[in-house]
Parts: sequence; structure tokens; C-alpha cells
Amino acid sequence: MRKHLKYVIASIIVAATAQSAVAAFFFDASPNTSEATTVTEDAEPETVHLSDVEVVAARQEKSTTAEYTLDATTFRVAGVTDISDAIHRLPGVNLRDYGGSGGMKTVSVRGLGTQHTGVTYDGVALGDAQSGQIDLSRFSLDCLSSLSIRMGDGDDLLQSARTLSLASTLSIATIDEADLTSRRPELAVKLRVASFGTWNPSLRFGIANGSNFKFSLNGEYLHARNNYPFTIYNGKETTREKRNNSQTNTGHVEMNSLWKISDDHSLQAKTYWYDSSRDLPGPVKYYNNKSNQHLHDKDLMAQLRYDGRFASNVFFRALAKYDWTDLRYTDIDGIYPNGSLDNRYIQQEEYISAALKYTPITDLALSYCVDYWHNAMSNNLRANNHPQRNSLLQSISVKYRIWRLTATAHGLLSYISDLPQAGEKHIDRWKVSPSIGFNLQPIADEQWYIRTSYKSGMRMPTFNELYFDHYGSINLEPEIARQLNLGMTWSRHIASWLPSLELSADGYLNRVKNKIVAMPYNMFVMTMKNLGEVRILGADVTLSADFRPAEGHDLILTGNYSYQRAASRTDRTMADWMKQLPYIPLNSGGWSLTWQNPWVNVVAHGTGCSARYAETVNLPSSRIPGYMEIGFSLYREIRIKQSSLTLRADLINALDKQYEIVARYPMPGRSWAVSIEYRL
Amino acid sequence: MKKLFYLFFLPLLGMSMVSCSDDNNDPENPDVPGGDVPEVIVVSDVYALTQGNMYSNIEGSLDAIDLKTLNINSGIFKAANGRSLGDTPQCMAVYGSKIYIGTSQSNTIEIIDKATNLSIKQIKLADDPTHGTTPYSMVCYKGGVFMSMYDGYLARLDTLTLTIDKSVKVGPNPDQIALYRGKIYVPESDGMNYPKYGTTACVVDPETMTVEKRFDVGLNPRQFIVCDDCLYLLCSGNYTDVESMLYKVNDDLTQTQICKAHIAGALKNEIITAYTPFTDHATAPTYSFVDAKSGNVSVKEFETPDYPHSFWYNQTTNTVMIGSYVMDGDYPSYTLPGYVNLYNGDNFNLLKKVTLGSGGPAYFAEFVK
Repeated sequence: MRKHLKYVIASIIVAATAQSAVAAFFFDASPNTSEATTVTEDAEPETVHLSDVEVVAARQEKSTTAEYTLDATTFRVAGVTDISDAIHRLPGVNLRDYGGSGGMKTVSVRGLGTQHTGVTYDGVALGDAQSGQIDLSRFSLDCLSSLSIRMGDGDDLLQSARTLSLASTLSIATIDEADLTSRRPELAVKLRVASFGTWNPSLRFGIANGSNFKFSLNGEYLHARNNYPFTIYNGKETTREKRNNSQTNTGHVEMNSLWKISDDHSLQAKTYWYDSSRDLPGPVKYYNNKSNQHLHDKDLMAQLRYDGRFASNVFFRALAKYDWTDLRYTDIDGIYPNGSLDNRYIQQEEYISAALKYTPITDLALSYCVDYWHNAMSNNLRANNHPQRNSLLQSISVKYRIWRLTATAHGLLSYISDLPQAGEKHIDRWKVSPSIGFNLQPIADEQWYIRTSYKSGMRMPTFNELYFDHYGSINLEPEIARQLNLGMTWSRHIASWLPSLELSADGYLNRVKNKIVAMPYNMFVMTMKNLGEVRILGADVTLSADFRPAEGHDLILTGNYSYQRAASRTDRTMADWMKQLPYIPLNSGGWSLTWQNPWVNVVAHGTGCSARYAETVNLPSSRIPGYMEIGFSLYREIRIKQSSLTLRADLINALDKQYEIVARYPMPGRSWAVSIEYRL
Repeated sequence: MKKLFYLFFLPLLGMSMVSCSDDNNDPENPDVPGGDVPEVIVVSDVYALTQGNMYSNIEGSLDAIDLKTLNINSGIFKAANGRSLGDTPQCMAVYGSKIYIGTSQSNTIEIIDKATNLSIKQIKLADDPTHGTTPYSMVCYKGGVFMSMYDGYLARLDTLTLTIDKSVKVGPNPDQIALYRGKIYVPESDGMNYPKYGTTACVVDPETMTVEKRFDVGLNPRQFIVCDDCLYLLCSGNYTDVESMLYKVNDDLTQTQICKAHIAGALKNEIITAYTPFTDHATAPTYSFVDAKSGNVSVKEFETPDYPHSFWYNQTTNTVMIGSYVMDGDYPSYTLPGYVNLYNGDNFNLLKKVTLGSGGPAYFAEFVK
């Protein structure tokens, strides 16, 4: 452990020194005001992310798969308070939130299960081979420029093969402050204070040399007591309690550099450090609020990215990443040997990816991508397993545009080799995962697009499922997820009083095979098996409208609604046949109404869902009631010469609605937050 | 991680089947401490306590089974008191005019008036953990309800003051205790210490609350059983290659291996056991009958339940009870309500199958109407 700590500290110092040294080198260069043109491959809006402005909306309309994005402007305009709230505004996405700012938050998309959702951070896949899920509570909206969900493969031919393997991808992009063309430093300092002892400062800094180099740093820290009150309904008795053992101390800092080597070549580097120390209150139990659980997790990540263009129609992108995580779970209770539990899991990942794209003629693009990554996990558990995994993925993609029709096809070949324990036999798995999608603009000049896509994806069993002590099953097969989608988007400028109206609607049918479930191995022990089958029928609808009743006044309305009928179809004789999967609501949605005006902007917003069941058989006793949480925000930006000051106040859960997302984990009631941000 | 652990171990959590109003070992009026007044007992009903499933938000249930009519009255605690028993009801004892129920997640002891089903007192063990917080099994003796606490204690609840007044530190994770010839036998399972489970048991004197002896036993001792004035011990092994065995405990505390068994319970003068191979859930369990005095093993033909988890014997009506999970396809369901089969104690004819109030393993105790 000490060895690892030394390694961690050494890596941070090396990476930071390297980035600073490189920065210094570039800042010594004489200012050269050459144009900072972006490297564009073709006429399509698939820009390499070098400038602040990314043409996201256009890409989404023309995408062959359903995609939804919230950007930093939307975070403000729609009154989005934190990452959970942001997820609730995306259709088709289910969030499992354990409550409070330290509570774990994981997502699943369109009924498919958390491990089917890939998460990328600034374009590079995040992974956790142990649990197969990413805890989103670590991301603060203060440092994010956009959050988007894509249900399927999409049309980026330079994306990594890894993002093609999973059914859906949640992309998280950080704010890129600096503009290459300017030497003016960018600085944003923010402090957010909220209920339950929450203090949340954050900082973003960026600087460029005016020609070919920029450097940015962002970081934030969160301290919260999270001892929020909640209500327990116990038969005839109703009691008011407070969450206990719930304190969170979390921080993260990252540095990014961009070196524009020439008009056609660029190199980017990122170093990221995350440290979170959380007390876990555990599930609410009747008559007992004692908990001594604690979770400390750390993450160190370093990545390098190269983008290049050779000739006018050959593009190349390469990635390298190293990721080290340390998760330590402790608990104090007399039932454990020596009165305490101390479980530590260390994971390491080394990842490289290369993609090559060729556009022989204007409307045809072909690409090949190869990804390799290696996962290793070590722990201090008695069972002492040290599993390793090698993943080699290759993809071939084609994108063709004819008339007003775009067609994209991807073929992915996955080869994964597991080594359960050193000296044991390798277990190999192969999978072929194809996908195809179409996007048609039926009427020229009309922003109306119809899309349809099919995708077959898979997710590997996690280390937990395979090797967790003696419950695992080392020969588990991957789960297969097949998705079929049909949808449309339509947008129009109606009149000067209704400058923008956008609608989207998608219907889908998903099937999961070989779903991994826990079943009894004998009278005492459970094991994991590929037993389950699920069929999900659903629809996602979004609306956004911008009314302009008078000059300087805007009324912005957004809404999203999802229907998800996720039925278990494992075995006709079993009690869960055709029952709704646990924690998936039949109906869910969100809305916001914003009044932008010269004085103070006012937002009203709400998210909610219908009832869910906490287990597979849908027993009435496990039913969790539906809810709608409503909140209000006020914000105002004050310009002071070239700088600005933004003030924001939020009233969260204004109606003090007591609700749960996960059984036994109540969400906070009425609370407030205020923030002040100064931008240079 | 921990959540997964608890969920998987739920079916393992031991069973406590205690009757303190039959004349097994101490015929006395429990309301008079130390009194030796013999009681004429008419046992006509049995309580069943089911665990439910906390993480699926399914509450446990206290049910009363009338052995004359073979009917069940489910959820009697919640019906009378308007609130939940607590999370994961674990063990139960009936002593004199009261029922004592321990919960292992809520860490409470609920003391209930038998006649009205109303709660007289609730003890929150977590508020004062000196005597242990996680009750696992109960026996009654001379005005005290003795309970094994999974965090390493044997505690005594005084039935007059209704407080826990004494305790003694025992080995780790003591499971199902038994009262035998005036002493309490405690199996020290060390069940949370995978894979190094315990190999000792101890003898505690209930009057002085001291550990008199500690002796070696098989791997993972979990349940002492008293039948026909003989003592038996169930050791569960390691759930994979080391088998779960039933032993007869001799007077010198050495043990004689009797047969393979996963669960066991005392009948009139024999012990009933059920066994399936560890590596194959699909094989139906085989039942053996061990003559308590001689240790001889025999079999009986009878209509067996799907997936047994507990046994009980009612002396007055001569009824054998086997609690079982209900099958969901090929597997037992830990969420759907289970059931109990009631058999005639002489010929093992199935009298009735009664659905219990909730899912999870069941625990039985007797009461006098």
C-alpha cells in the first residue's frame, strides 16, 4: 500500500512537472498571432474538440441514434442544481441515487442495467472492471461544459472501439476555458453554500500563449454534513429522524494542456486526481440509526491524446491513458472478526487506442480503430484474488451520405482474455457486435429528421460477479443487449415571439439475453448465473420552446418524458414473469420553465417518476411510491468591465416532498443553495 | 459489497426454536424467580416468526398457528401495535405470559403480552452495546431469557425488570444456543471470519454468568440441539468441500459424528435432519431421523416440502412442523411468503400446508392459550 502511495505521489509530481515544464516552454515563445483554426476533417460537424464552440445541436439532429445533451448554458437556464438533477432531465436515463451529496449515484439507460452504460470523460472511456459501474457523485457541474447521453453508436468515426462495445454512452465534457488566440488568462472562482453544512468552492483557470499552446487547471472541493431530516412511516407511527454518519469530504483537481503542433496536428494531455472520504449512513432501519461505515476512494488518471491529419482526407487519432484507483471500505461492528471490517481494492488500467479515418470521396468515410486495455485488481480480502483482464477491441466503420440520407454502420470485434489468478488458466471470450443507423431529412430546408438504428452490444461480467470470494462463477458469459430505435427530431423558428421550438420523439425495443442474476448454489450460498432475459418497450419525448413576449424577455420551456416497460421474460413458470424490473418506473420525466429578463432570471423546475418495486416479483410491500420534486432558482449575471459576477440562489424540493429513489435511502426534503461566481 | 454479503448470507442466519413453557428442563413458574412450582401446561398453538427481506423492503411477520384447527393468523404484531416488528426478526422465546422477539438489523428486543399481542417494552440494544447488540437465539431459564449476541456475548434479560442485567463475553459469532442440564451451551461459529470459521464451543453457567468450560468441536459450530435429555451439535463446515455434520455430544464433551446434515431439529425422542450436497441445489433434500439416545440413523417415507429451512415439534398435539421456502421455477424464493407443513407425529401423514405471513426463513416457538 505504501508502495502505491509513493507511486501515486510520484506520478502526480511527474505529470504536474511535465505539464508545467511544457507550459513554460511554450510561454517563452514569442507571441505569434497565427490563426487558431480548428482541425476539421470534412464538411460534417464532427470537429475535433479544439475550440470552445462545439456544434452539438446540429450533430444531434443529424445523428443516426438518439442523443440528448445538456450544456453549461442549459445547466443555468433550466435551473439544474447538481449531477443528479442533470441526469433526471435526460430522457430514458434511470438514476440510482442513495441520497445526499455523498450518496452513490449510478445510471442505467432504457432499462438495460448500469453495466451497459459506458461513461467517457473528455472523450476517453472511464472503466471499473470490479463493479462495472461509475459513481457519478464525483462530478460537479461547476467544471462541466456538457453532459450527453447517446443510445447506440452514433456517427463519430474516430470514436474509440471501446465506446462502441457498450449499449449507451454517457459523455462528460469539462469546461475548456482558454482561447488559443488570446493571451488573456481566464479565471473563474465560485463558492456554493447549501443546506446541511455544505461548502463547495471551485476554481477554473486557463491561459494560452496566443498561438499554439494553452493550459488549464480546474478543481473543486466539497464538504457537507448531509445530516438532513427525513420521515419514517412505520404503520400508524410517523417519526422525524436525521441522517446519521453522513459526512462527505471530496475534492478533485485536474490539469489540461493543448499543444497545436501545426494546423494539422495537435497533442493534448490531462492529469486528474480525485479523493473522496465519505461516511456512509447505510439504509434506514426501523428503530436504529447507528452506522460506522466509511468509504475512501481515490483516483489518479493521466492521459495523452494526439490528433493528426495527413493529406486532405486521412485523419488519425491516438490515445493513451493510465488510471489508478484505490477503494477502501471500513466498518466497525462487534460481529466482524476483531470488531472491524477493512476491505481495500486497488485497480489499475493501462489503455491505448488508435483510429484511422479515410474519406475517399466527399460523402463516404471509412475508419478502423483498435483499442487495447489491461485491468488488474488487487485487494486485501482473505480470498486474495488478483484478477487481470486484457481487452482487445477492433472496429470498422462506414458512413455514407446520399441526398439527404446518412447511413452509418459499425462492426466491432471484441476479444477479452481473463486471468482469474496468476498461474491459472486464461479464460477467453469473443464477441462480434454490429450496428447500423440511418438519418433522413425528408424535406429540404425543413429541420425535420427521422432516424432509425439497430445495435447489438454486450457487457463483460465484472470481477465481482466472476471472482467475489466463492460466490462468483468464473465462466459467466457476457450479457447481450440488442436495441432497435425509431425516432425523429423537429425544430423550427416559428415567429419573432417564438424564435425556437424543438421536439424529439423516439420509440424503442430493447432485449437483454444472458442477464447475470444471483441464484442459490446450495442451501447456504448464492452464485451468479446467465439466466435472465428482459424485454423493454419504451418511448422518449423531449420538448423545448423559447417564447419572446418582448425584447429582453424570454420564456424558455423544456420538458422530457419517458415510458419504460421493462419486463422480465426469463421463465414463464417463475413468479417474476412479465413483472417490471426493480427500480424502473413506468413513467418518468422532468420540466423547467425559465423567465429570462434584464433584472433577475427565475426558473421553476421539476422531476419525478411513477411507482417502482424494490424487487423482482413486484410484491405490494416492496412498492416505492412515485413522486414529483419541484424547485426554484434565481440567477443574475452582473458585468463589471470585462469580468462578470454571477449570483444564484436555489430552493430545492420546495414542497418538502419525502421520497426515495432506492428503498431505504430517503432523499433530502426542502433545502437551499446559494452561489457566487466571479469570472475574470 | 457489504449489502451483497448480507443478502447472500440471509438464508444462513441461524434459527431459534424455543419453548420455555414445556417441561423440558425447568418446570417452574417463570414469574417467580427461582421458584419451583410445577406447571400444568396445555400447549395448543405455535408462533412462527419470519424474517422477510430488508433490502427488498419486505417486512418480517409474527404469525400464530392454531394446531387444533390448523389455521394461521398472520401479522399479529403489526395488527395489534400498528408498527413494524423491526428489520430482520431473528429469534423468539415464549416465557410465561410474554413473547420475546429479537431483531438482528434493528437491534431491538420486543417484549409482547401474549394475551393481547401488545408490546409491553422495546429495548434498543444499540443505545447500550455493553451486552451485545445483535440477538441470534434465545433460551429461558429461572426467570431469565438468555440470548446469544452475534457480536460475541451471551446476555441475560431479567423477566421481572425487563432489562438486560448481565452478560458474559463468549467466542465470536455465537449462533444457536441450548439449555442442557442447567447449563447453556454456546456454539462459537466465528461465521463472519470466512474461511477460518470457529472450532470451539463453550459452557456457561446461567446463575453466575461465567464460562465454565471451552471445548473443541467441528468446523463452524452453529446449533446445539437438546432432545430426550441428550445433546447434539450441528457444525456447518465451510459450505463447499468441508461438509455440514451432526454430532452427538458425549458427557465428557467429546463428539461422535452421526450423519451429514444441513438443518436439524428436535422431535419427541429423535432428531430430524435434511441434507443436500453443497454442489447441487437441484437435488431434493434427503431426510434422516436420529434416535437421540442411541444415535442410530433411520429414514421415513413422507410427503416432503420443497426447500426446508426449519423444524419444530409440538408435544401436546404430537405435531411435526417443517417450514419451507416456496419454489419459484427451479429455485427457492427468498421474497415470496413461504409455508409450513404440519404432520402427524406418529405416522407422518401430512395434515395441512399453511402459508406463512412473509418470506425468508421461519422460527418457531410455543405458547399456552
